[in-house]
Amino acid sequence: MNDDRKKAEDSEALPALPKYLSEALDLKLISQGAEALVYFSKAHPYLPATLSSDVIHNSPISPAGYILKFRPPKPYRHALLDAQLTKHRTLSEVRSLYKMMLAGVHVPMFVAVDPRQGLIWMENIDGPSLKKWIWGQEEEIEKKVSDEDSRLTMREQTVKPTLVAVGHEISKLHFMDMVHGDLTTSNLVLRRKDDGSLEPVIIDFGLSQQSTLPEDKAVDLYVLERAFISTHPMHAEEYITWLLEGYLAGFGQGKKTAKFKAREIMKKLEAVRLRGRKRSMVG
Amino acid sequence: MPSRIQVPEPERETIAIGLEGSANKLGVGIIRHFPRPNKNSHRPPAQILSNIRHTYITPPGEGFLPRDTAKHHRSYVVKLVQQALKQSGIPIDDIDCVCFTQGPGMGAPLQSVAIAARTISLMWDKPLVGVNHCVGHIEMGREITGATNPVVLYVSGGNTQVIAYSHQRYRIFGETLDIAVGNCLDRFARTLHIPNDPSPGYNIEQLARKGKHYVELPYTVKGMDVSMSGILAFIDGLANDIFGGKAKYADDGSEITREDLCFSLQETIFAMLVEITERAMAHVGSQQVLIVGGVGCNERLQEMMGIMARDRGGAVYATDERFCIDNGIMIAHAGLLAYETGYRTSLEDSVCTQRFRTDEVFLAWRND
Amino acid sequence: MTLNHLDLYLPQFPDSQIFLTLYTNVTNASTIRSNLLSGNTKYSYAFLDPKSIVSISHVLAAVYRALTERAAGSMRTRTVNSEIVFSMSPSMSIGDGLKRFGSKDDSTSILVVRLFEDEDKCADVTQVLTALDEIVDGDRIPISDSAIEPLTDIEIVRKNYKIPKGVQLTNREEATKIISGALALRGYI
Repeated sequence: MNDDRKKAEDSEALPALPKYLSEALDLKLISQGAEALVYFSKAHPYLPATLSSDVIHNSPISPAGYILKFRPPKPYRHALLDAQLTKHRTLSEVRSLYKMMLAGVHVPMFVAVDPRQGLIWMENIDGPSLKKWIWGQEEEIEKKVSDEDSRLTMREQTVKPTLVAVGHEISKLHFMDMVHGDLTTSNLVLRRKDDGSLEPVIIDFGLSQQSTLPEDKAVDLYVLERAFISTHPMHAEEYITWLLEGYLAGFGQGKKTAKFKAREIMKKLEAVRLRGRKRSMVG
Repeated sequence: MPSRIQVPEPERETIAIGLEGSANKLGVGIIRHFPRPNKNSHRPPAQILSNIRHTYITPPGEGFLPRDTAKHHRSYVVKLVQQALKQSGIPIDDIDCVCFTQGPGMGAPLQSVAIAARTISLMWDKPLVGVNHCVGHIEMGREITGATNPVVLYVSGGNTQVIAYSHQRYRIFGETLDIAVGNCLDRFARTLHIPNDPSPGYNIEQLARKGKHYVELPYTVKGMDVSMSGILAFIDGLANDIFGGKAKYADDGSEITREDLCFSLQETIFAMLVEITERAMAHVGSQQVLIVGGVGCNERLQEMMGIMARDRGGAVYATDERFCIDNGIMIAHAGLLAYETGYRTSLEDSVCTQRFRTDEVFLAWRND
Repeated sequence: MTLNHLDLYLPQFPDSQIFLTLYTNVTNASTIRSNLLSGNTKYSYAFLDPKSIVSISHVLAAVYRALTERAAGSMRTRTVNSEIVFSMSPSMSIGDGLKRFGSKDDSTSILVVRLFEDEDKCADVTQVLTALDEIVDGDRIPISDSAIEPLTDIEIVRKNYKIPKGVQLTNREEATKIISGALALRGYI
């Protein structure tokens, strides 16, 4: 059994990014999930640094650099199945990014895709994840004031508006009948804008799907609730309430027909909360 | 981190008899546990005193129905208990408790075995311990393989779950949204009229080994969960077309055979299982995988899981057919672990339940 | 610094040197086209109609697509040059794509793309430019997004990319984003 173990530190243990990429670009591995490796790159896939910015001034470039998401081949899968899945999932993710961009939802800009290799180039968002940002705010508030009432007031002033905005952004996603599939406080990022304000951006559409079902959207929100409870146990309830406020207010821009849809989703959310995980087992 | 919880441990050896019959396998097992020799060492491995099983096998093309299965269990249980006792050489007096599968499973078969358990518990004047079938598989898997804290893939005719331990419970990370993987294989075996002896899954595995062409099937992983009914419907359709004279062809022009279909079905559904297991491993930061349940005997599944685990710097653990297929010893083992912490099931509480989720069981014997 | 040509390499394709030039006041567009269609090897270039181009990034997005298709063995046209023209299109129809985005008989400006690879490596920029100047009768002007701006016909862009009236195309960066996405997803969306 011991011979079979490979040290995780072995660089050869990392699935091979196509060689030409790792050699030509200065890529920095930033995360390794079950399905994909995420690298940071200062360089754009087809706008090399040799092109000066006055020549290509109309290029949609990202000042904060780019993300290269790589779905490596999985050797345990049959080669044909593996190739299909890589291509299909890569395309599904970029389709979601593109559609949401067209719909005006804040998502990373998709730059290029190579479906056969499982590569997606997209914009890197400059800013903290919601998770880290909230921790930062909580710490600051704790230092400034010591009584709970004042702390709550401060949270209402700083954390609440951001969560309301986040809720609004998610409602735009759901209104477009897109379900994220992995909503966590790490997949919500706050982009620092030039004027100093924070703009919520939804990232990681690797598990996203189209769905019109209120149940699916409710499950999306439920997963986020569970994430809040696990990363911010002290004030999770408060944060979730504010987020849902923004979600409901923003859903379908507050149009009448949209209100009905939003209520359906809330009803399903109630049911999902009661049920916990999906089904009872049958023997 | 919570401090180590004090778990009551026995000072002496303990022995349990376990009865299992939640599906078509009737199993009786007798196990002995040893106390810790001194404060600083581990408990020695458990000793299997007997492990006997009799399977209700139906003709090809037929599944097993609850009523007939219960009848089978009723016909064999007395003989198996007698055989198990004889094999173990243990006098009835030395047995500490009578363990039985309380659920989940098929209603009538569960009840028939529960009745037998209650009867011998009253006859021998020994306490009863109801056991969750899945927990039985997991605890036996841990005992036999020595895997300390693996992500568990539990796959059988009735269950498909990815489980990880946390705070005295086996938490379900992912599961099937409709049918179990074993069920999918068994039903396809019926479509192809494959014999059920020794088991439909085993026979599909043998046919799959001879398959050459991969046929594209739907692949349905949804987050941490899987869905199999769509794949079954699709492949049943293909099989029926082929039998109905509408031959299908692979890219190289050769006809698709039943071997090819078995091969493709395994490759697809096993890849799905490996994927959700990998997701759970990434989530909890584990590198060990333990496969339990009847489908865990499948060597191709073990092979695929092993490749994935090794690529992550980990390893896969699996047991052989004595333990991965439903058996009585796992019930005896898990039941005895509970008994040692003071757990008892009164007659009133010994009602069987077809739906019994793995995470409902409080694992008092684990202190990590 | 103004350039009368651009040459660059894409990180994923270190062996393919990409050359871009821009001509205005072109007088022999129909000759170019007939030579191209008859397969004259001296005309192995991608001749694009700047009316449909919003920025250089837009063109490079098409070049990237063509190169990745070639690497996957799934080009839909015969040569990488025709593939570049076709890759400007959001639709699967090859004939339609080549017609809409390729240079026309009455074009008065042309953007030329050429790949130099392996034995064909471009040793001398002057040589390349001279050869091109022989083929295209027009003024080779410094190529940049600014130079392209007056040559674009926004209504043709809107038509070719089926962009709804409500979407503004005045911001070229936004337009490039939308269009690059459409051509990257050609056949997949």
